[in-house]
Amino acid sequence: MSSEPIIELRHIHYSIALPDGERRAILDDVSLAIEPGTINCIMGTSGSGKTTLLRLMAGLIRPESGEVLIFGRDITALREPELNKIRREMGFVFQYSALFDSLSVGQNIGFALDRQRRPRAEIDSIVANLLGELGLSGLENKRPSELSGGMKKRVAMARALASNPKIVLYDEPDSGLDPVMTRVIDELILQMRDEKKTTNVVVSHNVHSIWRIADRVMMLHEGQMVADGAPREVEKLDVPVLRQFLEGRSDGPILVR
Amino acid sequence: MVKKKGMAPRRSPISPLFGPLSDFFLFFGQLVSLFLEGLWFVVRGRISVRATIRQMGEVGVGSLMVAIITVGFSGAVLALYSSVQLLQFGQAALAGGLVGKSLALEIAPVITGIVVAARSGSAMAAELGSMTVTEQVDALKTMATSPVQYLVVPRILATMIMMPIVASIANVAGLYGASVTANLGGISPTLFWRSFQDIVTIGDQLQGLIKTIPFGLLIALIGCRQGLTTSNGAQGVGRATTSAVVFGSMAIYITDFFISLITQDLTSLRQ
Repeated sequence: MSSEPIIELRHIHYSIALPDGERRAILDDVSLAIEPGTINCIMGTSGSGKTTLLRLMAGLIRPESGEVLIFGRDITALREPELNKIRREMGFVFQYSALFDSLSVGQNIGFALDRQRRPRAEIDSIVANLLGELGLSGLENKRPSELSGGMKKRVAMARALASNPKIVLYDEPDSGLDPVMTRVIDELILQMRDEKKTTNVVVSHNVHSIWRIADRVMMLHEGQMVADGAPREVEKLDVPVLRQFLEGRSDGPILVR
Repeated sequence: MVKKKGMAPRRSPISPLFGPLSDFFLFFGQLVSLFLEGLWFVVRGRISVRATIRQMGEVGVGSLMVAIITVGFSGAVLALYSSVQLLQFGQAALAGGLVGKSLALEIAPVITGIVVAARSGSAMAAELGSMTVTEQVDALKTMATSPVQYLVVPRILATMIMMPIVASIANVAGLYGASVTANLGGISPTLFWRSFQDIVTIGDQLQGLIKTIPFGLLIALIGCRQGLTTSNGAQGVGRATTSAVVFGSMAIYITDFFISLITQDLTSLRQ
């Protein structure tokens, strides 16, 4: 299949300032294009630039050079009001859920809808449906502090999906979860792609989980894309860092710091 | 241009000299930027009344008792010292006016400002700092919500509204504290209050209360700025909280000096 990419990154450079004044490259000439209705997994070691890539796609940070095209529009030069129009079509599941502590589960899920001034009855109905779909019925009035890690992750997913986004970005959705809950989250991501036709970008370390859900796998290493393709193609690639990562070996080109 | 890991630093040899200066301008620039962005939402009527009222409760309830106690006792101590001196010079009739004017113009607004900076400015920095390091502020942005509109504007408005209210109540507490100790020093309450009525004008009271409004603006701006620029986890939240109180208190004293300089008729002193 080949259609217009819904997300496209062109020659992205991004670096951060270190305390000693030096700059460290996080992404170095990274390009990728993501097709609609697919699950795209980005893997790599800690500090390889995976989360930075997601944050660029959400417009939370801007690259030093290069273009980030969402729905064909370069968001790097957009002002906040224009960027917000695009963000309304996107959902973001944060690594540590990032639920609002001061709001209940129901208020967290309905937050974006409430900001859009949707009718209360409609918000309540969407929240109840999402809680039901994610196995969280009856938790509307709980506070995030009363939930387990797995519940928080599912509430974060519900919040990201509440406004029916076309794109969902997941930052390590399975971090800190047991294998059963990881499987539940994976199945939910597959369900969202199949039923709601969302385009999904999933950042993860979990090779088993990635191979279960991915239509396409990418690997970042030291800010550069070292592998990209369908899971069956990628697992055959003879790239040393990829081989070491997939086999989970401590010896190899990936330096353990 | 992106530099690779391990490349030579960009800084010039004299750049450390400019570090503190550039930090100050960065801080000041961020405050101005936050103020203008907040003002833009206020001008367009993008104000959450519900959130502002909730914040008014936080600022008022949190600071009122502390302000009453601190200003009350400050008034009492001021009356104690001044009563003794005034009685020595046979000017007991001036005690109420002297203490009342000091409380209205300086003690009540400034001490209330310090209390609100310590109690509410720090709470704002801690709450927003915690939200920043746990990515809740980023979550707001991804849901097309401006953190300035949602978090900062209600806090600024609430603090600006509550400061004159808290300061005026604290001022009354200060006056009562002063009348009690003045009485202990030998100045009757009747004399004290008559002196207060004769010397302290409505203009003095208003001048004191009006200057608490910029204090409120600065306390909230600094608290929110420190919170929204927090990094480095729990340690960063602690640092943001402390610096909100330190910078907030300094801002109050500096602003107080310039407002007093502008409003005080210095020419009358020279004559």
